[in-house]
Amino acid sequence: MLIKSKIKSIKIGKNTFIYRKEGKDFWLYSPQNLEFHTFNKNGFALLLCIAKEKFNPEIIKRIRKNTQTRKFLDYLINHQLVTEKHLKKLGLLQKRL
Amino acid sequence: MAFDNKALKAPLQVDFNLTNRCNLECDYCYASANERFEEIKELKRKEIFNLFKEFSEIGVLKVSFSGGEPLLRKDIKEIILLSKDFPFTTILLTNGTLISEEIAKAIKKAKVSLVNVSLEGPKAEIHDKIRGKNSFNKALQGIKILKEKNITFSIGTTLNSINITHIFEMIDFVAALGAKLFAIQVLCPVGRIAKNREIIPNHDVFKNFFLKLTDLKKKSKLPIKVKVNVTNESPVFWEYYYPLDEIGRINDLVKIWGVDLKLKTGNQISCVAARTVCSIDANGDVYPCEMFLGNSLMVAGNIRKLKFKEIWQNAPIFREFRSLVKDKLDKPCRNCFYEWCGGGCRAAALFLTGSIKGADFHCIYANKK
Repeated sequence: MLIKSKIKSIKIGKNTFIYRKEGKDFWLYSPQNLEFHTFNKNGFALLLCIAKEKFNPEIIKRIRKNTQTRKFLDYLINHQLVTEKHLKKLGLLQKRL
Repeated sequence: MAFDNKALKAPLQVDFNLTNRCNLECDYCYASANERFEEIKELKRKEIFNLFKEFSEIGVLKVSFSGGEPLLRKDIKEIILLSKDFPFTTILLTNGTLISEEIAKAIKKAKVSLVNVSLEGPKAEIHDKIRGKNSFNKALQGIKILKEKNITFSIGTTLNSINITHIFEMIDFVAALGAKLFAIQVLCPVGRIAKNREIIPNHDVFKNFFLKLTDLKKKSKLPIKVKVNVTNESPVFWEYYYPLDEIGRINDLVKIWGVDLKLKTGNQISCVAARTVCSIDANGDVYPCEMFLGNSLMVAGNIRKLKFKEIWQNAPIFREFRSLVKDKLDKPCRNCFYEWCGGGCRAAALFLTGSIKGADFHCIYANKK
């Protein structure tokens, strides 16, 4: 059965989340902790980078310098969207620990 | 969920009452199940399938099967299996007494992400007092089958004046059962509760309970993830903050309960009904949220007559909900000095004042004024 849908999925580490885009925002649901989250395009772009595990050194540098982005990473960890271990593996947390 | 209470083109979550029939008769049923027993009017499988297709097309992320008792439907296995090929997540809310091997197999096959079983206490004498004789043992039998099939389940408890003193004992009990989550639902004075309000714990009892729970959570002494669900999981309700604020520990909302204090509501209301969620009754009537089920004035439309998308986007009652801002609410909610609340529950307001713009007089602050 072919199902048309606006719903997409994203795998981050071991967990799979579903999301949809509406206007400028991305709405994501986590079946793991039963919570909805909303991201703007920058937040979601970063989440996609984490999911694909693809960063260029410039992005990593920017993340380490930018307080807002570090807060964003804390949000992801606190809400179990990513694990601290996973972010460390990607080189995103080293400088601040 | 981040506090961004604007209307969406499609709901994030739909609470779907598959039936209003129930094999139990709890005093505080918000859906007044059994009183609205009309099996013949229940949506047929084909209609449900078409609804699933529409949910997918417009991007509903989560569908919650509830009732009544959804497992009373003869075709429940087929309905659960229908959902298998759709991209939204499903959860099932049940009293657990009718879970069989066959139903569990269907749940597993359909990849239902969570089955929430209602238990009202750690012992039969407490649970059965609320839900009826022998319902505790039957629910435990259902949980045993879920465990054998390796199905993720949570336990939901409706906090009331009978079980509130047993909740801490229950946390250990639920952890020992192997549940993923213990969800404590705060009662809202709607449905049968409106006639049985003595079952709602008084504010001092709730405050003591909530502070003790917060302290245990803070010390990481809870053996299982425990969540306190305020009405319809709205982001910032007074039930969460008032006990902490009264003793100057409002910051624990962030640290312990993960509520972001930056989420000042401003002129927004915190009610998510018709903004991010809605509810569909067994006969296809669509409501702003499950707390309004059975109230004919709150019906936005019926999916047998209109497309769900059209109801969601254009129903006058939904537009009215979306136009609600704090300034439009009645006093004292309108000029309450608390910036976090957003006016409380609109269903409670309707039941207690007769208007969705009324004050949530279930709130201790509203009552003091």
